Amino acid sequence: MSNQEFENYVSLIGKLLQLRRDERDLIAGELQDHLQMRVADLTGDGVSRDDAVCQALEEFGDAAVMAKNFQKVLELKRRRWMMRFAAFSTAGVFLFAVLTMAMWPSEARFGAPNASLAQEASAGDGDTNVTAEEKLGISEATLSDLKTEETLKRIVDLDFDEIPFSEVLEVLSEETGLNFILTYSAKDDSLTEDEPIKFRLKGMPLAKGLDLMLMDRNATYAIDEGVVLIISRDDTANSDYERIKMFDCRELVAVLPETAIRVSGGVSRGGGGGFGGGAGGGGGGGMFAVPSAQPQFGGPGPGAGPGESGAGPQGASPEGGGDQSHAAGSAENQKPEVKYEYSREETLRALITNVVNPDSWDENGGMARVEVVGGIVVARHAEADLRDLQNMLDDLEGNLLEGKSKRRMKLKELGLLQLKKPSNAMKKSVQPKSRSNRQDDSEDPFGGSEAPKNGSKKTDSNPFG
Amino acid sequence: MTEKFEKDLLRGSLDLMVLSVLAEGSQYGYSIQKRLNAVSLGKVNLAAGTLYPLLHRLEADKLIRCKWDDSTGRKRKWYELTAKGKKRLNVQASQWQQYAECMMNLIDGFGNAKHAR
Repeated sequence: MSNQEFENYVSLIGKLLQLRRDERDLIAGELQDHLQMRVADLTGDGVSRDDAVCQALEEFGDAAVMAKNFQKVLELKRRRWMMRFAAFSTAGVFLFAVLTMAMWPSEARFGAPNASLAQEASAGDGDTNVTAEEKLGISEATLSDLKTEETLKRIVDLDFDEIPFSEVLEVLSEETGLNFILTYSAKDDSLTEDEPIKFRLKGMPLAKGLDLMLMDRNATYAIDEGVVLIISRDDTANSDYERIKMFDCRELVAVLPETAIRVSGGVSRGGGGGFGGGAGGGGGGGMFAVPSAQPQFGGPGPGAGPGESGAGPQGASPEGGGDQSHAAGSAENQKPEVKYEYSREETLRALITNVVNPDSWDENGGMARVEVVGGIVVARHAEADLRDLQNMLDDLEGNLLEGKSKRRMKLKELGLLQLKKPSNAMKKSVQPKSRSNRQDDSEDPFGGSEAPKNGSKKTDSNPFG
Repeated sequence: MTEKFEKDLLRGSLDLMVLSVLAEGSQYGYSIQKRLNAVSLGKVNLAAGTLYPLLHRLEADKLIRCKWDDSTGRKRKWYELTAKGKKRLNVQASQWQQYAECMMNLIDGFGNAKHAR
């Protein structure tokens, strides 16, 4: 009888709170322990068991009141998360504004009034009011995408504790001003509005945080005219969810080396610049015979490159995936070497398709496309890969245009680069502290609290006495 | 029987009461309730419907932390103070002492019951 009444009581609280079963069970477990102890105390005082149960339940108070009190705690948790998110969003926007002002215009990749470009414009047509955006002709859709992209760069703390996914999207939308839509692509892949989200991450760009949060649920996001679409990870290659993005790499292209590639006889250049294996097809692979001191790219290619004269002999490319000095192979000895000169733009394109998610590009069997036209990289790809591409181009530009020392200075200014400490100091700092032999208290699961245990304060009725 | 403290009087001091009890060592809900009842000579009888939501709120505020334990054969949720909770306890205790002193100066001479300390 007691169990049934208690079960009804807890069940009512669970329903009033709309808790999930596991949450309800945790609260029920705690309350049941309380009830059993109280009943034991009362029966010890001579009260009959039935009366003791009734009294204990009565002392619990009205289930609705308890549910209401628990509800307040749940709401408080949610409100607090939203406040924290808002605080970080504001800080992120401020930081972004400061950095933009500090970096403008030399660091801006796209849409920045490039100094040399502005001079050309004024010298050419005399119209000094033409902005880079107008000159480049950014569409409304692209502008919306770029704004969304910038918003998603905000540094935030994400702290969701079993919040339904629909509520997570509402909060994100409220705090960023962006539209988030859970698409059927993700729903079909079992990510529903009710999916409880437990996720915690500190000081990360929202874009990365969102991606990590969705990763475990086989989902990710895409941007479509400024709207953030939550999609299944299996659909990233779907053309509906790919996005076209342009990167102004004119300065970068200007400093890239003209690259030459040596390919053994019978192998010709692949369509669209299939470096690193795409050209030769098969397992041959290839490499850049780049001028000395330049980074070497390539390695075993996936072999999907559409070579003009058909696939090359399997494994015939002598340089496949190795150091130039070790390049050797029977094919090399027998067939004359053909040397191809590659333009800087082709070099950049090859670099991209070899470094950023290689298998995803169309010449490697994927769906994504990239072209370099007039120093502008035009890529059609999934959101995460566009982000990787942007990062790679930023870093490459930083390294090639600014030089190592200038870049190190910048990293130091941002507090991201610290001087290496002597190895001895490092060793000291990681020496484990010896564990003190603590005496386990069988009753106390914390194994003895640091808090002072003042025995004199305890009364006889105290169970710790 | 024992005259209980008015609810209005308790409001605002329950957090401090629970934190103080936990400063004595880790406890579970029922033991906290009993300790408060005993130390107040029956004047504070915190209902479970108030106590448990309060404990969950303090936990959400990271002032206390909990741990489930079933080593005694019964599944029990234990609470203990965190460093943040200890700090909060010190601040609130100091404020309350000053508040009590202030009140004593104001109400000294009124009422029938002599204050205990």
